[in-house]
Amino acid sequence: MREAGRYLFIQTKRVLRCFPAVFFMTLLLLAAVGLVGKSVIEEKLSDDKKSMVEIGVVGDVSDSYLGIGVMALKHLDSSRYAINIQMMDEAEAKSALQAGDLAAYLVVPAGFVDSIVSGENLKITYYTRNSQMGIGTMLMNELSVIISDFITKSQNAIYGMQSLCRTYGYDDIYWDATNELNVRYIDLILSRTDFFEIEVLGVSNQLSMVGYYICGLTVFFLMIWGVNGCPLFVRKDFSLAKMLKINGMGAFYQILCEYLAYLLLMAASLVGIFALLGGICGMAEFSVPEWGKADFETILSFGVSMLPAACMLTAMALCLHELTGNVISAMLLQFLTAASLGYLSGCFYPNSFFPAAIQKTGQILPSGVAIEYASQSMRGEVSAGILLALTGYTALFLMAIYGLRRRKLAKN
Amino acid sequence: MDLTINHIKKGFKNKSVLEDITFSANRGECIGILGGNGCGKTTLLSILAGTVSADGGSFCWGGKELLASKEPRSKVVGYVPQGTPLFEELTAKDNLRLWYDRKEMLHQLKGGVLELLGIHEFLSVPVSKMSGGMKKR
Repeated sequence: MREAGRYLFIQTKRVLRCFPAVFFMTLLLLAAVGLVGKSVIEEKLSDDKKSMVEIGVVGDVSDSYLGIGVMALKHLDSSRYAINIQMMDEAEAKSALQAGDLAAYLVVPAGFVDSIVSGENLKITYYTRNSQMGIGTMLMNELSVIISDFITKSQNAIYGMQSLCRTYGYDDIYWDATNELNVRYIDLILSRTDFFEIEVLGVSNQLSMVGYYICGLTVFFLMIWGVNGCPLFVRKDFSLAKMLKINGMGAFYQILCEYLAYLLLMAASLVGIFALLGGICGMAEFSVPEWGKADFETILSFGVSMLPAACMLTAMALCLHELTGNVISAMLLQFLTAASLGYLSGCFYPNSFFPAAIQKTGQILPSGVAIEYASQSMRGEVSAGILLALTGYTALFLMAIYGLRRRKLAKN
Repeated sequence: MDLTINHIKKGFKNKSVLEDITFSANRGECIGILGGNGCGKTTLLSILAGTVSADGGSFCWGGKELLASKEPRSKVVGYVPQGTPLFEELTAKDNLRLWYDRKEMLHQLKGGVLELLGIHEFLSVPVSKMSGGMKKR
């Protein structure tokens, strides 16, 4: 045990001596991961903006009521999936629909308003593509039905009243009043917030997009951080390990001491980085839906809460180092493993984007377990099951390292 | 005989590396083990050092059987490995701390084996800056 204590002391001294260089390297890795994260999040936000539904309108909408209705559709909508109305001819609309520039277009037949007045019922035709029959288009279908129904029925009533006024010779007196009634009616009817409400439930793991990517990229960062340990813990020459064994310190104590020293280095880097991020985000007034304002304390406490995941990923990194005997190979292996696991488990895209089989595989991988832990930590509801999974994986990696070390010592 | 090695044998994956190795020596004698590449020299020394277990045989020192003993072999066996069992980032003093307590190290530096080897001359030098000879010492 004395020997183990000395070995742990020496390993700790090594990692602390290397900490400035490791922290600098960590900052570089953080910058790289941050750039990846920024471009991924910006792409996703841009996709959200594109969800504004482009609708073409074909036909003569110069009639005061229909024109007001179209204008109301254009300007009164305040929901996230706003509708943008574009006036165009039918050929242009058809071409735009096929090119995907329009979600749909409406064709208002000539004399539509007159037909309502005269008691006919010409229909507004709604064109869309089959592939567009998603929830947004279904909503648009319903909206078109509702709006056309409201416009025709309300206008039927108002035109009916105007016709009655004309019959009894009151048109001069009540004409302006009925016009105003019509406008106010359309105005009230077409306040879209009364038609539907859209709530975005989040990308995955019940988190917002920003929250999800913070979790995913944190896990990716922790995996890729393992390259820092390669110069310290990858070895070709096992003579020191053999000397330690001769002095009574077998593979078990060697690995335990190396793991604890490595974990200390990881923990110090993690806390340092998140403290730095907390300071920067606090000054920039960055906000995350799950946290509100992401201040220094919030970000630092999230970083500290990631320590259980860091324990598992440190063990995984040490296991990868034990597999290789060369620093360059070890660094390449670390990068490849981080990229592959990160991709499969949803560090770069929400896991829900993948087919079911890959989703399930991604969830049970160490990276998937780490992302789930990070998500639960962000939501403030960490389960015993996920902690057990983290512990299980940590133990599995440490046992693998023990087996490898014993084999290497026995092989000279 | 102070040192007795009897019928030591060792095999790896159905391949026999050492077969019936027997020799003895008295205190103060120096024995050289010679052989071609891959003949089992390092394997034999690893068995005697305690890093590899033997498949059979015995190793006695001063009448005490060592192969079956669980005590650290370092109390009776000194082992100089082929490689360099040092941490390059640390100084000679830090590397020595791996094998000695502080008190014991100071004792060895003043009149002990460490002074004999001249290590006190480069105690604060990082291993990465040492010559091969200094590292071997």
